[in-house]
Amino acid sequence: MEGLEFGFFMLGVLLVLIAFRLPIAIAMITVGIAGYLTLAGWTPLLNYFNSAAYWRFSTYDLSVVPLFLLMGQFATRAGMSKALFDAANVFLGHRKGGVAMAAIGGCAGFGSICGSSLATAATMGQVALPELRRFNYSGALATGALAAGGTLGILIPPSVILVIYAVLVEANIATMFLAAFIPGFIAALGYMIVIMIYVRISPESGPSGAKSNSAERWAAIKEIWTVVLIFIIVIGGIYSGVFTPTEGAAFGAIGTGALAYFHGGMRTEGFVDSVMGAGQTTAMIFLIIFGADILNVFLALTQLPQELAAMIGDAKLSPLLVLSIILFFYLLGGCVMDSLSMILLTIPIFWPILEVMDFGMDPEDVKIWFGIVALIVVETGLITPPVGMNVFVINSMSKDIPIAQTFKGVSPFIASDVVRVALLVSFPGLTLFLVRLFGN
Amino acid sequence: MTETTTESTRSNTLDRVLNRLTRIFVIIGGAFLTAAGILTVVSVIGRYFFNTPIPGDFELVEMACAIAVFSFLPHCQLKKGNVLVDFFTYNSSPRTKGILDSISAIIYSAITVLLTWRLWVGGLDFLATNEQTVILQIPRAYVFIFIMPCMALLVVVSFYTIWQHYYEASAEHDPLEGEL
Repeated sequence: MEGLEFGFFMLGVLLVLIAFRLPIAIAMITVGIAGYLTLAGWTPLLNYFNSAAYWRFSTYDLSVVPLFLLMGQFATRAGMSKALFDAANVFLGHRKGGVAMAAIGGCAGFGSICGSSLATAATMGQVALPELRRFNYSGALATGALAAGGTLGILIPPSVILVIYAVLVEANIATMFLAAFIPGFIAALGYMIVIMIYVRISPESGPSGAKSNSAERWAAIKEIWTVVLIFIIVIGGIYSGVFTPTEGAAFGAIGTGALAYFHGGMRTEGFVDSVMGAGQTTAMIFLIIFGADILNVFLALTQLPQELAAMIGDAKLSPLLVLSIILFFYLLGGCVMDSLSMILLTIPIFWPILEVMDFGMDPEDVKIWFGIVALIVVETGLITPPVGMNVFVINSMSKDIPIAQTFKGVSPFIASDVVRVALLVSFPGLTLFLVRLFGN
Repeated sequence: MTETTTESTRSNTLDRVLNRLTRIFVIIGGAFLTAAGILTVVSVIGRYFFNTPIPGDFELVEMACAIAVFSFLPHCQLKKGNVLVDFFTYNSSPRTKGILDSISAIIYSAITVLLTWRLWVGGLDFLATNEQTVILQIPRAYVFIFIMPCMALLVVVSFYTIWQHYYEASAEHDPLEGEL
């Protein structure tokens, strides 16, 4: 078999293995080893394994990942979710659908100190669901808004997946965070508009909550100054170049850790639980990264990414068509696979194709823009059937609401995601504006 | 019936031991990670306000991070934390899933054995060539003192999960058995 054909064959094998429940990381390692062995033989393979794992696990840029995960764990235990929700609620609660909007606002706020969607959905769900039920919000709207709001956790910096994408395509992590800011804001705004339209069509599903006076508003704002401070230090420090993303993550982890200790009452047991949670996710992520490494070493030997890119380049397809096909693939893939695996599995194949295409802008800009759009599309998979993880997390917290109701409630938010992707694809300037403003 | 009972008690003992060991490893790794975080914060404050950073702090962070990741791996495998796609086998019987998961664990065991062997060789290589970090000149072989026990535990855990998946799928035991 030719290198290219062999490469495609092995990718097919990989998909079959994954379909048969082989963990994605282990499937990548297995296929990588088998392919590498076939093309290069034992000696290079064994030599590669002598230190590949050590070097990969001690990559400085990737040390951001466990630190951000620890930060997310501490943030969950810091007890700030209620304060964030309350702060949004005193401003929005009195409107129709306002409590649900406050849940979105709370998710956005929590997303600014937590880089995980599931954690954001789960933490905010605990706080906001009882309030939503108290004001007689329909089960569909209450759970739908929270499941969708959770996806803000990964889009609003800090974001673990953006870090890994940046390492993968050799982009600047700080630039990626900067680029995610406006799309994250649009996302929160889009979700709030969805709620406004929702309650206009069916007013009984989202009644207005309590009205607050300005004294209550001030009191609520004072409660969240610590979160604001941590966000400003971490993200501001990274943006302004005062410190590296790893240093920012260290500040975030230690800062939220202190917050969890003083505000959330975290003690030894809570600390151990945080480490166990962060540790398990860290191991899972790094094993996938390691698998992607081996797979990519093999794919590089087959020349598959380059030849595929050349073939598609020769076919003179319109770049936007190719991008649309890739995004559609992500939308389908995101329905069955988690977003991180999707990104690690596909970027080494898709990025060389897009890299050589002419989108009428600098390849560096395309890199940033594509990363953000791809992230949003795979994250939509978290709230689409059949395996929308966020939907299940929120639904499991409110046992009386059937899962079909939650999926029904989340569907207008998916529509908002689609509109947002179309907007970001049509106007790359939205993503790149801040990068150009503060760039380099 | 008697045999199943003895088997299950033995498994519980092994299960407990492995759970405790992996937990200890995670806590050690977490301590390294937290230490790396504190070190970084101190270094940045020193650099920014007093113009005296801790030299080579990033080398320590890198090493602590590597130790942490390796120490987290056994826990992740024991808790079935490695993501898989459940979509195509969603309606399969628990037995089929258990057998497939058991096969996955066999493959993972083979990989961990290979990886442990090669890391052992790689670590000895680092020792022989006295490979050091650039600034602090810490021999990289030191990190392997922490990595190798993690890998050894990972090998044991991955072999244990072969049996664990198969047992859970085949034994028609009461799910509440352990709780009572």
